[in-house]
Amino acid sequence: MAEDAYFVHLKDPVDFRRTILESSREVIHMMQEYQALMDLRKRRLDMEQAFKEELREIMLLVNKLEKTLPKHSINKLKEVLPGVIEEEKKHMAKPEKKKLSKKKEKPAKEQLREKQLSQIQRLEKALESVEGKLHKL
Amino acid sequence: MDSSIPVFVKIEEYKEILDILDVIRNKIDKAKGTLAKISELKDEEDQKIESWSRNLDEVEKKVNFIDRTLFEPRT
Repeated sequence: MAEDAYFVHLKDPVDFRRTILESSREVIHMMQEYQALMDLRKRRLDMEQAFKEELREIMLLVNKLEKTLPKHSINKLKEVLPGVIEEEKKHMAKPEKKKLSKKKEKPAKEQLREKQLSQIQRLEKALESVEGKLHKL
Repeated sequence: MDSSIPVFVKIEEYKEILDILDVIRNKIDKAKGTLAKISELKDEEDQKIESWSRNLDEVEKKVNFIDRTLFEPRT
């Protein structure tokens, strides 16, 4: 043993040891909790996936409902509601023009871009379409 | 569209619409149930994280005690 070695007196060594062991126990508990948390998270992710699927089914059904509802012939509506049809034409004119000009410029690129649209972008597009329909009502 | 103009739906389509609406209602109920379960699981996760925080505080206290005992010896 070296001559310059010195010792620290532990007033209550049992208490000291108990504290170390308790710390160790707490850490082990936390690691066990971690496993439990991972299990919970996995269950939640599965549920979220199921929820997403349910929403998709609801969306499909709402689209089906929309398709099942009667369609109106523009010519017949023109006879009955001439003012409304003119208003609708005004609303539709601008977006159509934009779409056509873009397609003429870069049709191949546009098609490629369409394929690469992420899920969020597709949903945004669908939302825009619904908003447009609502606006025309 | 002018709401005063009457619009009629064919009876067979009307029945189909009712069926679709029924299915949609069921799906919505199911989705509500799933969402409630997601919320429960999220609450459990939050509780676990809070418990971690408390445990970590405990460990910190104990380590501080060990540190004091070792490095602040009393004469």
